Amino acid sequence: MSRFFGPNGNGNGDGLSGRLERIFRLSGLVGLVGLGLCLVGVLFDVQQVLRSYLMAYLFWLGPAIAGTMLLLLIHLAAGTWGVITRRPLEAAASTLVLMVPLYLPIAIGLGQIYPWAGAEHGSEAHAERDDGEAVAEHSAEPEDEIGGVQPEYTLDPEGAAVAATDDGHAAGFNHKEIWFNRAFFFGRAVGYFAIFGLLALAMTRWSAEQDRAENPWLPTRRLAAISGPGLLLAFLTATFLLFDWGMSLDPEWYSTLYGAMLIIGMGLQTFALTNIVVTLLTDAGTFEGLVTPKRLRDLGNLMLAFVMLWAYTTYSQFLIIWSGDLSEEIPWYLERSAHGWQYVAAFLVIFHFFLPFLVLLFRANKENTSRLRTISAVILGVHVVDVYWLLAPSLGYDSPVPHLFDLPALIGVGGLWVAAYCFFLNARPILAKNEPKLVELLASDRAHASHSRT
Amino acid sequence: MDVTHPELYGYLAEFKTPEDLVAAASRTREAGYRNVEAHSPMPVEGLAEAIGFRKTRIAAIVFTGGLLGGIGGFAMQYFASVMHYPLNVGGKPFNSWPAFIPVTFECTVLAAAFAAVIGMLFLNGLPRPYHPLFNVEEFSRASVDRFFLFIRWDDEKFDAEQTRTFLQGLNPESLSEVRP
Amino acid sequence: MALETNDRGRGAPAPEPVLGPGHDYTTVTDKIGSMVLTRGFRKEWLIGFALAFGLVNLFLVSVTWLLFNGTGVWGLQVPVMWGFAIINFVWWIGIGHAGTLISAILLLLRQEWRTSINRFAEAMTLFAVACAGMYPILHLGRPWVFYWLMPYPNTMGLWPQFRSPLVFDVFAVSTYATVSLLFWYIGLIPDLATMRDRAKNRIAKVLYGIGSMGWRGSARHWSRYQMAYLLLAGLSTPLVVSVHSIVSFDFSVGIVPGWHTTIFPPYFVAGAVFAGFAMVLTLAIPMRHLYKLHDFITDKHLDNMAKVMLTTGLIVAYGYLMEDFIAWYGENEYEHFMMLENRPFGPYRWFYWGLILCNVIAPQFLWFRPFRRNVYLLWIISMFVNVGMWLERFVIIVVSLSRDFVPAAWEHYTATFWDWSLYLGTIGVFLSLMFLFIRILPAISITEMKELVHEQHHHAGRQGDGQGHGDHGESHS
Repeated sequence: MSRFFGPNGNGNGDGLSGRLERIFRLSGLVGLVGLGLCLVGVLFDVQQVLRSYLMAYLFWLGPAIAGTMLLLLIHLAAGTWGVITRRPLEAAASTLVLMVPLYLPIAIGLGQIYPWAGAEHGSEAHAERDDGEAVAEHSAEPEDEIGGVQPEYTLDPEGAAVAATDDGHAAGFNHKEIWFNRAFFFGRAVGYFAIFGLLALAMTRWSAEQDRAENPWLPTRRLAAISGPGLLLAFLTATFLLFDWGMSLDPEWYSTLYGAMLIIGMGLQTFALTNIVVTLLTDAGTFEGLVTPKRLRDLGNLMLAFVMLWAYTTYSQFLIIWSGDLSEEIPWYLERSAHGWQYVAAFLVIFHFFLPFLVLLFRANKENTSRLRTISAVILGVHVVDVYWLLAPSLGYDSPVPHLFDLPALIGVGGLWVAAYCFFLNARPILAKNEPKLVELLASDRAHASHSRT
Repeated sequence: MDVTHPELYGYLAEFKTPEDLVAAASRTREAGYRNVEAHSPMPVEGLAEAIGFRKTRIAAIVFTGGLLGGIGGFAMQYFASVMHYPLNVGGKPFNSWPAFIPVTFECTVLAAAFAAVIGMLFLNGLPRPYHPLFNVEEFSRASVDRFFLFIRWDDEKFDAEQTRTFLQGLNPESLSEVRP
Repeated sequence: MALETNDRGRGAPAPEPVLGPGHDYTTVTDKIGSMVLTRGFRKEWLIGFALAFGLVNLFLVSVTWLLFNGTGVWGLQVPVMWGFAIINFVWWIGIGHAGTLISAILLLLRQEWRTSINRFAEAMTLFAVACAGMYPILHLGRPWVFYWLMPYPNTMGLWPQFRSPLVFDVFAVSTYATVSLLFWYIGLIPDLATMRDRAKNRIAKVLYGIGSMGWRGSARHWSRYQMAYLLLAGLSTPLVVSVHSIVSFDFSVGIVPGWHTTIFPPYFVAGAVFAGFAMVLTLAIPMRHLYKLHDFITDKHLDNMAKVMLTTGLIVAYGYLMEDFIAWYGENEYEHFMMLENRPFGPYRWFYWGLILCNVIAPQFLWFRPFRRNVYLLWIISMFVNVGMWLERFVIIVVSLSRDFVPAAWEHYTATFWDWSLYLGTIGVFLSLMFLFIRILPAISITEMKELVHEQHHHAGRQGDGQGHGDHGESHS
């Protein structure tokens, strides 16, 4: 049984392999228990379980998607940090293998999740909120429940209110019927998985070839060659993926920045996760002095850059929609700033931006493994709240109180994800020993060491 | 000797490479000299440490400047839009904080940048048009391609003869007396 | 275990140097200093400056005519009240972004190749921002009361309208100009000291001496200097992003179709960098040829700049795609009309298709190395981008304003002679300042080139020990 894991010696030493295997088993077990609880929940409230599951799924899809993109980025243009983070990112990208079957519940329960597919979320909650000042101010005539006469995608009462007050809206267009045609939607989903699967496969395979090859030049060239076009393709694919799976929860609402904003959030999440792993590995001695404080600082700085980019995109979208105050756009923010959601938003401003930003400004916090790990863990945890804030209000969560099934779903998908991640992390050496940048780096380290001795 | 206006301001030793200068600076410090200064045409890694300079306060100054700028920027907008002349524009609240953020940010950056520049110049004692070192002819290469070590007269260990001998022992390209 | 690597990495090509061979501290100083510290003028310089100065006179005439008659001399009319003045403002400010990007972001990313172009690009930034700043002020109609834009206690008891992005602009552009100037000047101080010590001419010596503030290159000073410079770079990076984002807010917080879209801030920033790098290439390629700077501005520099241009060009194309897709997906008839009917098929369609050609199609050639390595082709592509980015602003401003919600309010816009003359005039101002800059200040940072020399000597001992991946490997350690 013990050799099931890392069967032919991955060069990482038994200590690390053993530890990863323990995590693999434990998290796999936690994952199964979590999903088991969700299955029990299906007996009571299928729709709620699907809502919780969707949020958990999109959270854990983040590292698989953004891992591939960051991997492409490090082959395109990265210094030392790319050498250090490469294998953890490859492991993250590989977890797509797990995320494909885990999409099935969403595909099956589409009609329970997406309003354009016929789902209804918390209609009483919506009606109740219409009494609230904020909404009344912005949508002229809040209407009550609407019957089936409306096209499927305008079932959202607020959307209908918009349609009632603004004849120009949606007049004569059938684009959403085309876009949300089920066959087309699933076809796109297959396409997203195919593109990310192929990119992740190419990156990990050629990386493995680079490890084995007598002359690593060819795989290295290939990795460099695919990185530019691959990143372009991945960014576009991820954008539409997020439009489809996230933004379409409010079929009336749209924002051109949405894709990029969520991709950056995913990038931050992945970076935080990778930093946790890298600092743990460093403490375990896996990198043997390669991860110097200065190089840790680079990782911290990159995370800082992501924190700032996250704030930048989030704020930009907010200011533009807030200032424009248009009836088809502002409801998205009204939902997210009432009934307690405003406190979640404030929490995000402080803990997703200000706190990490301030803490990461100081060198000492970035050069110390345990401090960097703590900061990364906080960011990762707070990012759960971010995803929750982005998605839950569209899923009928009237107030930010989590549902009973949210946690089982999160740790269910998460447990399996972590298990898969550990499996892939252990499948190969932590450092790609033939990577020219690593070779150069070690040579430079040796030269500096001998230089400072003299 | 006049304590405030010495006749000999110090000794200036010239070196050809940055590595020589760092080595010489380390030895000078090991020998117990404290008022040592090194001059180079470009920043040399490890040189400041070699002459015993560890910590700059620039970062703290910049942080303070930025903080004050940010608070000041927001306060100004709040004062103008909420307290001094509240004006309803487009139905937006008087305290339109989402719209105040860009100006707050710009004020933060502006104040922090000024803090960085003025703080750096102030701590470095610049501008300083006259300095005794400029009297030494060789020193004009300090901004071009030579590296200099300077021991000032008010160092506790400074002695016109011994210091001279000590610096000579470091094999400099040239050794000059600096006169004010 | 993990750290045992082999030397099989040798199959990869050796990293290309960012500095020509055989340079030491003295030759670097001589070579760069000689551009400035020589008597007389080069013929090419004189001709170029004379042409640029001619345009400066055109600028002066245009401004005089404008002040004399008012903004009616331009092609402005209801509903297109922004016209050339704002197009050119955004165009210039965009160009002004490359300098700070090269200086600050590439410094933070430790991209050594920035060294030989940063000073030049920073100067370009300053002059471009100066040109940009003139437009909104002239557009005020009463430019002499421009200071009303600043918040100061006044007898009228009025304050700027802080909810307006136009006021954000005042702060953003003035902060950007100030911080860029500080950054540029701080970078110049050690070089001015070098000039002071090298100048033969007494007046030049004194002037450079005043500029250098008595810089002595003390190790303590360097230490604080480097820290301050690094922090300025850290501040400039979000600043440069904020400036063009705020410019994009000028449009996007309004609800005009084609303006009100959330992708605007990042896509404007990318567009600015795109335009800025194009302008750096447009100027650097002839300058390198003229002053024989091939050792400092190597083919690798041009290659890297081309790559940045390609990347930002793709981000801009992503922005176009998002706008068009969401216009289709969102089913808003005004957006749909603007993005998918009026722009591609309306009266200004040729501007739109020209923009697509220049900004989307032309940069795709940069995927291929021969195009990045051939200075002529690269120069032509960068000219395409310069034009394309101007067309982009034209399409955003004029096409949207001339046909917004109510067809009864539609009106066609055409620029007048004075629009064009002022535009050409600011190009003249910009070029004249660039010519003067090249003549009187070191256009390449001598100090930083010396650091590069030091680095090269330092690492010379271990060449062949391990090979880097060709293009981006320099950012190590």
